[in-house]
Amino acid sequence: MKTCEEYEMNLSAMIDGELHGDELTETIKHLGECPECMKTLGIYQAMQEEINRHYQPDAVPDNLWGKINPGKDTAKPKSEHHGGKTVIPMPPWLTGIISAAAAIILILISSFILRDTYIFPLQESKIPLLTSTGSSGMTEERFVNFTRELLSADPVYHRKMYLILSALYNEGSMTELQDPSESDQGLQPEFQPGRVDSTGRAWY
Amino acid sequence: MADWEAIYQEHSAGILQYLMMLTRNREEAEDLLQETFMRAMQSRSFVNDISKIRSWMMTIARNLFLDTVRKRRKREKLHVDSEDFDILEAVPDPAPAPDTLVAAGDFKIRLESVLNTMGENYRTAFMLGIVQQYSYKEIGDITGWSESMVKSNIFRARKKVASEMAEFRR
Repeated sequence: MKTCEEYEMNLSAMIDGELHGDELTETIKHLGECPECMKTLGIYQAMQEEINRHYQPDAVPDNLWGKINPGKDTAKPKSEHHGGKTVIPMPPWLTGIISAAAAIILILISSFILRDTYIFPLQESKIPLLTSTGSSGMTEERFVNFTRELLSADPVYHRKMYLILSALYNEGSMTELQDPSESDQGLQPEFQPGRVDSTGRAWY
Repeated sequence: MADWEAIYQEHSAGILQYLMMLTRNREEAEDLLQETFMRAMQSRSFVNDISKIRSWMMTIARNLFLDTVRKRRKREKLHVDSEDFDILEAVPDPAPAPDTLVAAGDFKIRLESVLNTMGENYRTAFMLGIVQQYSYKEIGDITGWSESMVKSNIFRARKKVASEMAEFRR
């Protein structure tokens, strides 16, 4: 037969929800017969309630996560869970900065691409970029300088540009872009890479 | 990929509470909490089962604490050997004497002072089983104890605290 001391250990497990089966049945039966063990159970239960009420964990310092995971903003807003995914809301000021930066980049890229075609089309020639040589179109010198500039800027990309330009030049299709009113400006010289033109400059 | 910040939000307070009870020193407990998360985040044996994460994290925390104690004891032993002086007796218990706290009626402070008189096993059993209400199986996983040992340690810790805190009973 078990002693009260042995049943006491079961009472402790009973409070923790860790007593099952025959042991639980036996202990409950003993409690009905032993006022001393019933009193002990009451003491343990009261103590457990006091602990649950008064012994809550202290708050963890705010800056500790920043130390554990350096490089992250310790003051960042808490993540939100949406459909199993974690979404960190972006602060409004950051959204504004990103939008402004995107707009500036877009404007700069547009100006670079369009500057010769649309923004400054008539300062040096009266018609757009891809025109034939002659007084109203792209001069041979400008064409050479333009090609050289492209090649030096980005050898891979602008090599393609160079080939396209030279193909257009050789095929005479650039003439088609010439102002019709000035279409009698003579034939273009055939484009030959490496050829030295009449001014002594070499083609690139 | 684990959402470590969410895990931190969920479990850091409980781990810190346990570490504070073990170390009796908030600063040291926070250092160990930091180390616990850094170790866990670097670990390759991450537990994918969310129900086991808190036990796994607590195991890391406890092992780090025990390592610290071992290193400290080794250092102290060297110091004792060299100076022929029992440093363990010279170090006062940082916990206030229980008698001075009864009047204050502060349950939490009194409870901590009682816990401080107990060995690490009973304190761990008390904190995990009674305060944080881990299952006996989880406590066994964290400590390496058998389930009957978990049951016994929790009972002894509970009995000790109940007898020492009789004045708080209504």
